[in-house]
Amino acid sequence: MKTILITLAALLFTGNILFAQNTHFTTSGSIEFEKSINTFAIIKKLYGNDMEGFLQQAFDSYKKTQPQFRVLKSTLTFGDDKTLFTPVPPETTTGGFFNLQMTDQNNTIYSDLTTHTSTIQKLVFEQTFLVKDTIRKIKWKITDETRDVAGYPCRRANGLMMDSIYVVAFYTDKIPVSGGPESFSGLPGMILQVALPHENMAWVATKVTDNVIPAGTIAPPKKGKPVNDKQLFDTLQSVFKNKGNPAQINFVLKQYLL
Amino acid sequence: MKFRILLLIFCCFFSANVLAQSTYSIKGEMIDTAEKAKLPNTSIVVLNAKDSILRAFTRAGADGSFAINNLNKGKFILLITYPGYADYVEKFNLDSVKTKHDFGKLSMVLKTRLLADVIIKSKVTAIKIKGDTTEYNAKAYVIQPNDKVEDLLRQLPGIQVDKDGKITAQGETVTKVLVDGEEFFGDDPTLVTKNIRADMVDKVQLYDKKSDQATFTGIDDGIKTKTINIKLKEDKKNGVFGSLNGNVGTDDYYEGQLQFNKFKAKEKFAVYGTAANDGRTGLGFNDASNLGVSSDNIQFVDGGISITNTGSNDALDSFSGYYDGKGVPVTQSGGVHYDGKFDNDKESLNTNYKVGAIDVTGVTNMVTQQALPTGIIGTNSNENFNTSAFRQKLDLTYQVKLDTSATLKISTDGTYKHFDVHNNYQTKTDSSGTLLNSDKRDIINHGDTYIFDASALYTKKFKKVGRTLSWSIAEAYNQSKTDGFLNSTIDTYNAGAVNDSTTNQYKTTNTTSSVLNSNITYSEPITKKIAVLFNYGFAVNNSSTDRLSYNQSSPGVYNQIDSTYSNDYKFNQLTNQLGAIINYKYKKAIFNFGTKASAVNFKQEDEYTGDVLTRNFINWAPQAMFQYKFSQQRNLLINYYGNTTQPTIDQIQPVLVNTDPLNVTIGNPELKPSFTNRFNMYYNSYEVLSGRQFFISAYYTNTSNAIVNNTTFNDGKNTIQYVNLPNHDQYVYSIYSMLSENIKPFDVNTGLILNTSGNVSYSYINDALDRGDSYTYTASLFFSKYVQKKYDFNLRAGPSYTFSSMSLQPDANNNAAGFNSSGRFDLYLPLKFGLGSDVRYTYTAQTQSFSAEYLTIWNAYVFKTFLKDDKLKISLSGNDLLNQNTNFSRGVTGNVTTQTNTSGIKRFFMLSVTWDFTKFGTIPAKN
Repeated sequence: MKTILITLAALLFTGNILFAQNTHFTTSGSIEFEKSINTFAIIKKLYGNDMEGFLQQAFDSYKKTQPQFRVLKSTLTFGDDKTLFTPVPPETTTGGFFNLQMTDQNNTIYSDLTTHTSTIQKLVFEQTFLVKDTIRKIKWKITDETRDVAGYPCRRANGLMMDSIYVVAFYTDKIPVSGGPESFSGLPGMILQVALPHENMAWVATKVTDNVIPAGTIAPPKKGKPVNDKQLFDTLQSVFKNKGNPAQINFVLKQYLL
Repeated sequence: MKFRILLLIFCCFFSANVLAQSTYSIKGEMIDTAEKAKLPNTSIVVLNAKDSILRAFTRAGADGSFAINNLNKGKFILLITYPGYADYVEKFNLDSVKTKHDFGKLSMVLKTRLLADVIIKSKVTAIKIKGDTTEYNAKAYVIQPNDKVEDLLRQLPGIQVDKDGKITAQGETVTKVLVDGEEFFGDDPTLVTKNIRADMVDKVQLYDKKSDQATFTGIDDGIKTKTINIKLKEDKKNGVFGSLNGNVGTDDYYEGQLQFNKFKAKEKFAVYGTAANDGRTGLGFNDASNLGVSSDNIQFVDGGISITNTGSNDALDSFSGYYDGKGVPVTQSGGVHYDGKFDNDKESLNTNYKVGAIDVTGVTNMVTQQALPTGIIGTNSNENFNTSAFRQKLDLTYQVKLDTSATLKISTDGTYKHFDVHNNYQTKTDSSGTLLNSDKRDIINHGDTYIFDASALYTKKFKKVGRTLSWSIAEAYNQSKTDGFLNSTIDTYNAGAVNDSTTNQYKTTNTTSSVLNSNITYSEPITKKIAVLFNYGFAVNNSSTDRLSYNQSSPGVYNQIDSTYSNDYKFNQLTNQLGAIINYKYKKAIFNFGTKASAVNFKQEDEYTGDVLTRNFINWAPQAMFQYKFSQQRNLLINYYGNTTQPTIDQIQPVLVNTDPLNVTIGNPELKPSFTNRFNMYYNSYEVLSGRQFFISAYYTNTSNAIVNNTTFNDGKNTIQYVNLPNHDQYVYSIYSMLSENIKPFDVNTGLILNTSGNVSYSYINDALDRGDSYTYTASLFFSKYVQKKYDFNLRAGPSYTFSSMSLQPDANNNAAGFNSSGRFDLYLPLKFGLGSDVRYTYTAQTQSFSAEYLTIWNAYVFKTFLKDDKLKISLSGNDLLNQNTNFSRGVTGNVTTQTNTSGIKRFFMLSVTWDFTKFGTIPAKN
């Protein structure tokens, strides 16, 4: 009997081995992101590839005076398997001849990664919506390409979202939270860089802070007219109906549904 | 016994585990090979074996163990990663026989990475670099039809790529691959079918990119990243487009127009022509800008546009392409245009030749009422006029981007104009029914004008954001010669007796003027929110006017100089202007204020008498503006402008002219300048989702020390002198507001417009001060809907009321009600037919002095299109079906109320054929 106990104890003790003091994993903290928008390419897509006369002159003048990339900042706070994405209001508003309001950061997003639900406070023109639905599903494909983003080793994944938007994301194992900026999520680690090559925009993390987030900080937004994904889509579609050719309407609609 | 208990416990534990796993699942345990330490938080990922699509993932627990349930049957890959360790990859299957897979203890190896041949590889391979910045011309490399960009990069000499996909150049890693400036990720063919093909590449640039900070400050901080930028070819446009249009109508009306435009890559050539007698004068703004003809007029400033009239104010250049003056025109016009961009879009050239002729004939009837302390003087005048003009203009604009921060624009143009004018006036003046005088005048004039302009504009942006300099210089030279005849007979009635007075003269006028002006503007940012703008400008103006009037010595021989009505003046003016504006910008608000001051030296010399008139004065122009952008769709703008207005030379010392002997102006050298304040306000709010829009704009202008008429009416003749108005201000105001909304479910845009405007003006008549008041109030309701290619309509109607009076004769006011309405509809029918109609109805009530005016203009049309894309269109239209068209206006200034009626184009029917042709080839970027 004693032998058995000792054997058991020995097994248990060896079972209680050293935990690898290799890497520190970040499960709570905040990340600062920068979104960069290629305004020249978007204007070209919106107004068609053959802008003639007056419109072409306006575009040439725009290219001479405005920077090609518009940069917007945001913060992602995460902890307890929940994330809160908050945009930082820009210093200058979009203005001038070409209306690029759809590229503004219009969303404040709260995601619960355990229940796979999200609450998005979305500003569309003058109306604020509160969209409550399941977290957006993205079809991801893992690759073996790697790079460092903000000091964290990341792996590339290519994805397809909303059936037609191509996404390239870099996620890190060191942050075992399957979230990211805006509605990008569903990878084995935190997404620190993501690009939509055909929509001409990209987000990249500039600073990651590992700290404990006080309880109650990560909470869903409350303002807005409550709708679900389908109702939002129907409302937007009826607004843009007849306002341009199908390719333009499709492009603008996608921006507001992102 | 205890052992058996323990065994039982273990068995229960295991069997419990077995029971829990009723679906497809995997499990295992992570440890480090060397240290045998557990690895919690290891990333465990399950991918489809076939396409690497992510199926499920989890993290190893605190004890290193993991389990994933709820899988399906199929072939999978297990990918396990841990920072600093090699990726662990293992293939496995789950099927109805094997529903669970236990990986057992899996050990991870530090550092080295296993070759991942089952996971999609990045495709870049070995290329070497030499030198700092290299540019490769893609055309030099062999490309197969479906090669990707990566396959092209593979061929470029000097770039090396290792097995892991890292690109190196001279030992430095290429960290960024850009396409047209945006980071390039390479498309995944199993997710998207669009991808960048090698044959779309124009150039590949390889360079050391300075850090963003260094680019901004201009100070090199030594941080560089090797970057590849792939420039794609732009689709080269090549083709022809244009239209041909011919219309014939009743009463000999016709219209024809041709536009032909050929372009190849960056060069464009266009030819156009119009011939019409139905009001069309040439290309309207849209057509002209499509052809690139009107490039001079449009400026893009700070994100907004300003369209300015470059000053060729002849009747042939109108915004809509239709004649907007009085009478019926016959026009022919045409032009040739060329423009091109060279040297990588750094240089551009735009040149035009325009030629045109316009002949206008018409009749104007004018009824005026002059209020005197003693009564009302009424005048009824009929004018028959015929003007014809011929004009040729050649212009050239060259723009060059000197470097990334400086541009230069040089423009020059030359115009030749010839005109012939014939005006015949018949006027009767009466006082409360008693005829005072009647006058018949015949004026014939011919003239030739030569104009030459040249200008240059240089702009430079400095490294500091917001610091800019611009300098412009322009010279305008104008020479014109006119000659003509004045033939007038005035009959004055006085208690039954008639007094005849005749003038029959030949007159010539030669005018030359040269204006040189230059302006330099400098802007400097003081803080992030505040910037200052300075400007200095000068203008030198030299002109001379030589007028000669000849009387007849014998019939038909005009060689007796009439020195009373002949004169020769030389005129010089030098202006120096200095201005400063402070601009404050913060978040949604912009505020600026400042002033300009101009010092003017003015000299006029009478060549006959040697008299010299000099004036020196300073003009002030303060300004302020506040703008607040609540959101993209809601904004407010308030601004103020003030300026001094100097009396003109015609008011100080006018030249004696006898072209209208019943209205003569004499000079007043004592005149002082007036000062005008202008306030403007504008608020607009548009809600995209609900379609609701609210818009209000208002302005108020008041002038103090205004220069007004001082008229003396004697013996049926007006003698006018200008004087300053003390103690009263003249003012003008207007408020316009509109509220509209999309009424669902009909989707009709409905709205209400409320508008009021008014003015108060003064004048002296026979030493009495008269105040003229005019106030108008309008309200209208409107409805509109537009469904593309199906139908559209709009309807607008509403009443108005005008109060119009002169203080010297308060009972003789001209208050009148009015009603305005308009409507139109267009309907597209099946079989490519369409029709539409529009109606405009206006009513102005009768007053004491003026008759009522009714006007209904009704047009209608029907059309059918042919060919693919509706390229050929034949239509039949009826204009002014009720034959009522006329130009009508009524207004009051000072002590005079005027109503004018001018003839216009009346009813006619027209058959028109329009053919749009396009032969577009796009040479695709493939080449």
